Amino acid sequence: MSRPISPHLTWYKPQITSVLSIMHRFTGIALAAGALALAWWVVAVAIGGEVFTGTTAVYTSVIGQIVLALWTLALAFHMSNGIRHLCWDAGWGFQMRQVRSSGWLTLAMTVILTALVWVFVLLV
Amino acid sequence: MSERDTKDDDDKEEGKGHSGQESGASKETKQQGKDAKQSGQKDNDASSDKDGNQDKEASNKDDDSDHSSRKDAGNKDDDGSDGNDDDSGGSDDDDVIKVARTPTDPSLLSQLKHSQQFRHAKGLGSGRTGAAIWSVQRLTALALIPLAIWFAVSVVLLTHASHTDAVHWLASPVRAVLLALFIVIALRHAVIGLTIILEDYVRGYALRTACVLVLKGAALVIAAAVIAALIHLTFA
Repeated sequence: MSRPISPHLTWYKPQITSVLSIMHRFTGIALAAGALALAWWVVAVAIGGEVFTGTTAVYTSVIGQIVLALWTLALAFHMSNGIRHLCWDAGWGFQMRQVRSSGWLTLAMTVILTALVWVFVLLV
Repeated sequence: MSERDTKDDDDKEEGKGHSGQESGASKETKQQGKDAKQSGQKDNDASSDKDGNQDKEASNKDDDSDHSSRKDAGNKDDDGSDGNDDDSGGSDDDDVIKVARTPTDPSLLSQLKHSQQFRHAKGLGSGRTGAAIWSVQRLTALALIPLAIWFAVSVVLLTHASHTDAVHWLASPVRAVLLALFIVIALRHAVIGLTIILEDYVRGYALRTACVLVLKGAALVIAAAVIAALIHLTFA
């Protein structure tokens, strides 16, 4: 069997449309890993003791905080862009002008939501 | 049998309703039909005419996807004029249904090829499950919007939580249910998305299937672990 598979990313010139589409996939993969981290946290709370202490130590370390910040970014983006996709599924916003502007709106929402979460985490 | 009847309803050609009878016809009966046609006999003999029509219909249906080897066997007696038109030389053998090359009753093969089970098994066209997965992906996405916002707010509020705080927070049945829903729905959504990615980029049927099964198994284990932990915390 040598049937064609999906074209690879390097074939295309980057545009707001394609870049956001690719980012949707990458953030989706990242968030699947994030679900694993969340599931582990719940299990660690249930186990308690050293397991919980160790988990907290990892999650509150510098690298842990950076990864959590990236997951926040991924969640904000995937949710904003996901809403954009749901709008398309409902038939809204198919004009190229609308597609581009909703793309930039998605990026703006991503930054705003991520900043909102981390302002509260770090300051409150 | 009902498969065939369903198939026949889709066909637009004349004489389609007779294929139920045709399926029971032996090769000998068919040969009679052909003989009758060749000898110039007209529509008086109903049963042999049906057989003749059915032969032609079956051959016509095969034209678009099949090679001449089988077509010759079935079509020569009816109509020799377009005998080898669609002989593409068999360069891409992988796309040809091997079963259809064996010299068997052409109408039976045609019915087999159009049956839903056969198409499903061979991966031909829609297996009539794609739209369901598509809907589940959208519905889980919709459900995840409020759940993810609730979860993000909760995590922010739990930032500096001690173990006691965390246990207390998770022990609430409402929060436990919401968190269980969030994780289970998120995992369902993730499995669909990751399966699509695997289907796009993993080559080889066996490897691809193995990857998808491992993914589904892992999601099941994670979901079960979270629910077990939440039950433990709620009833402890």
